[in-house]
Amino acid sequence: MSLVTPPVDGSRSSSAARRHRSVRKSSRRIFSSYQDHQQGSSDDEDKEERVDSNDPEELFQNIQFQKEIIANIRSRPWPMRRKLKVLKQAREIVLKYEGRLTRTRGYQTAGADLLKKISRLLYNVVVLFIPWEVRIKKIESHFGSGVASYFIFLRWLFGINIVLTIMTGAFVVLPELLAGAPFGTTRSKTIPKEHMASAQDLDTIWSLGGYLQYSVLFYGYYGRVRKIGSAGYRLPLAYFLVGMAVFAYSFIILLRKMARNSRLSLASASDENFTFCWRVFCAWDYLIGNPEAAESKGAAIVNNIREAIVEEQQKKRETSLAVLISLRILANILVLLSLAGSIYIIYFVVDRSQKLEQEKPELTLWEKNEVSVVVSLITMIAPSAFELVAQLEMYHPRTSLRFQLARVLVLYLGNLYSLIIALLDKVNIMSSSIPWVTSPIVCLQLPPSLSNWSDSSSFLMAAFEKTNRSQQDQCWETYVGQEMLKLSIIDMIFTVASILLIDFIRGLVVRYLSDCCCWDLESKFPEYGEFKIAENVLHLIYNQGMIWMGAFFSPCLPAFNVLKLIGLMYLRSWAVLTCNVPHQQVFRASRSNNFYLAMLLFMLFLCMLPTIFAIARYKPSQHCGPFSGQEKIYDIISETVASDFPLWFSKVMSYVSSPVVVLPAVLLLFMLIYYLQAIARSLKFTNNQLRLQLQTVRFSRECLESVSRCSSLFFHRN
Amino acid sequence: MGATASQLDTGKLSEYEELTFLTKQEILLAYDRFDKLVPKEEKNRIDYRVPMEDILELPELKFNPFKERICKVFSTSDKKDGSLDFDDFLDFLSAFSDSATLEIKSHYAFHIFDFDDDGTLDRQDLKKLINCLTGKADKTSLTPDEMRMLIDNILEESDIDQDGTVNLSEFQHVISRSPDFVSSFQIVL
Repeated sequence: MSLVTPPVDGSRSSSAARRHRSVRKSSRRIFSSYQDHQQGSSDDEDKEERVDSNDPEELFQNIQFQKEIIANIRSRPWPMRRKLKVLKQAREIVLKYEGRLTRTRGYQTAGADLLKKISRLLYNVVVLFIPWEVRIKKIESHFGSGVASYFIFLRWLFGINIVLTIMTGAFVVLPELLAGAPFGTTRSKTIPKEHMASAQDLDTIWSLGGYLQYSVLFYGYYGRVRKIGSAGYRLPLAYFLVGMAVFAYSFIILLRKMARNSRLSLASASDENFTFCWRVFCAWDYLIGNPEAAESKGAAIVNNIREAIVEEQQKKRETSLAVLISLRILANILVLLSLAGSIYIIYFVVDRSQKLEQEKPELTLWEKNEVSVVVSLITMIAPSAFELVAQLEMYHPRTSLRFQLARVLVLYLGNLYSLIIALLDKVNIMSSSIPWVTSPIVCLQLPPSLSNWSDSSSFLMAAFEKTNRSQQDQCWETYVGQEMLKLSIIDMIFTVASILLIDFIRGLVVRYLSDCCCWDLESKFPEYGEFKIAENVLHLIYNQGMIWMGAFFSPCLPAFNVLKLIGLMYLRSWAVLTCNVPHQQVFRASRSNNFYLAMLLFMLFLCMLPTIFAIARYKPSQHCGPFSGQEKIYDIISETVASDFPLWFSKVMSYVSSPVVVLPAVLLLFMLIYYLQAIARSLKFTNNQLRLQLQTVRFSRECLESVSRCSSLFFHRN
Repeated sequence: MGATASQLDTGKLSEYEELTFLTKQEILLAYDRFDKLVPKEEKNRIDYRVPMEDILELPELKFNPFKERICKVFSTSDKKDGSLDFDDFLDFLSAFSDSATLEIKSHYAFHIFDFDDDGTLDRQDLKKLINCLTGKADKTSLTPDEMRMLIDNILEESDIDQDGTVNLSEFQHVISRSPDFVSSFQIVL
């Protein structure tokens, strides 16, 4: 008598068999068709009679069940022949009994079928449009899935930016171009006379002045007319709503992707550690189709395994503890100093450009672009500097990668924020300055050549006019948009330059000069470069943050970003295939797939704040833009609600936005979060209990087995 | 049930679409590639089985350490020689496509690693698996001590019922927690 269940047939896995058995059990309720051995036709006849006596509802359920099997057939790990047989049987049943359905059910099933067919067709068509598949596949086969993940992330960001471009283009830019007042008609759309002469200079175009400043590129161009065109399109309202929708869409798509990822991996909340299993079972990258990459991957796997074994044994380090700690403290101090330094430099440079603009009427090329160039230089040089400093610390490569990422992220955020704070400082001054106070000051600064004027009063009037005019032309929103666009352009130039200079030239040097150099350049310093996945992904995130920060003030910024990402994709894919070698060791920044998405979410949140702050705090410019004349930008909503909606609606809205409703809603959200956390904790606990239970069951089974063996021996002897 | 003379008809195509995770373009591409492996005199034969040596020459499989095991697992031939007909080839591509579910991938991964086909991964299977990954060269293969330590650690982490082998559910439990299994267990033609 054996108490151990016999092992399942080797060619079927136990879980597939379990699924198979449960499928059989439930289908036997109504109509069985999944016997492995063929049933005789008499069996079918019996079952037919059984089905005949069933009511239409049960028939419908049966057909739905068969359809579910048809839909899930591809998830069964069976060979094609068996899947085909099961599919044919299920289809037969459906065909045979579908004619018997009542009319409403019939329409329902027909509708569902049509929907499925359409969705299949759409999916096939959509797959055709996914760009750069061949390119990414080539990179995957040479470098593995780690490097390819950067390009897949870039492609995903490209998709988001395309949608943002369509949103801003269709609802804001196009209506203004088609139905708004054309260029040159209103004051905010004409280039002032004193700038007209230099409007076509390369200088002006480079700093986004002249024709570019008074175009759909920036906030200042859009008219404040409440309804434009023959259909009465409400442009200012659309502008505001699209601005908010850009953030909302980005949040939704990001959170959806994160939720989907965490469903796939199931690892986010658990602290289960399967390091050895993963290093063996999940080690090989099946996308590799290239002998060098395969060799490199094999070596990486061996190193990985050896390193895990060593960690397990916890060998001590050779260097003394005191020296190590002091070196690490020194490194951290250096990093903190450089971070503080970069923030101060940016603030100083923006301040200086502000002062220069007020003092000198004409600025040199460098002075106009100083801010963007300095920011881009810092973002290019600082990460390499951090890497050098990190060599002092002598951490494990994975830990040093995490530190590096954290420092670079703080650097990027610090840069963006100090830039935006400095800009907003200037905005504060611009939006609250009073015209006639500054004109005497300007008067005093006029060059002495104007002292030939006969009538000093008319001179004063002209000066007053001029400053009035220049005050009116000062549009702080356009200024912010210009700075963001300039930053984005110069960042792109620096990225291209760094790829060409650092990677390409390095590759050329190593390849062609290694013959004439005394040591082998290819295996020792400087070697071919490796593609730095983490830092490049962070740079993409920083780039996207810039776009989110400036999208409200420059509606064409997402369109520019689309072009930038296309260029970046082609350039980087060429560079990685030409100048880089596969990694010797790839360290993941974190165990979850959501690490970079979480950083992107963080960046999105932080980059949304300055726009919200500017909308809520500052008075929109008096003479330009769709919100000119209002006290606050968001007043457009209350104005629309008050004037165009029925009276009761505005009353309801005022109740809803009062603290009476908002505070309880916030409290409710907090309670919900707490409740969900409690559930997660209890599920983890249940998980542990079940695992212990499995172990005790096996243990007790072994005990019983040994007891039964002993007792059978005892009886046998007797 | 194999491919007809020179073209895949639309009925068969839609059937394959139902039964696999591949899109229409992928199935047609697979058909082209498979057709290239079939010698001219056999092109009219339905159910022609391409021998294992020819399948192993495909660039996507050539440098894969598990290529023989993959052929053996997906082959439905009675001679158990690893030859694949077109249906098997599609099954193989479907399991390795990027829309395949985690269960399918972990199921097939388990069978690929199960070198002796007994339904569980015991010490021998794990040893052969590790040798495949690390290669045959002396510099890269592990010492017997390291091998023993590695296998002990693997069994300690994954063997829940402590029977000295890893069965399918334990394997699937471990794999489902890994963040990059699904993205690395892919082959694209």
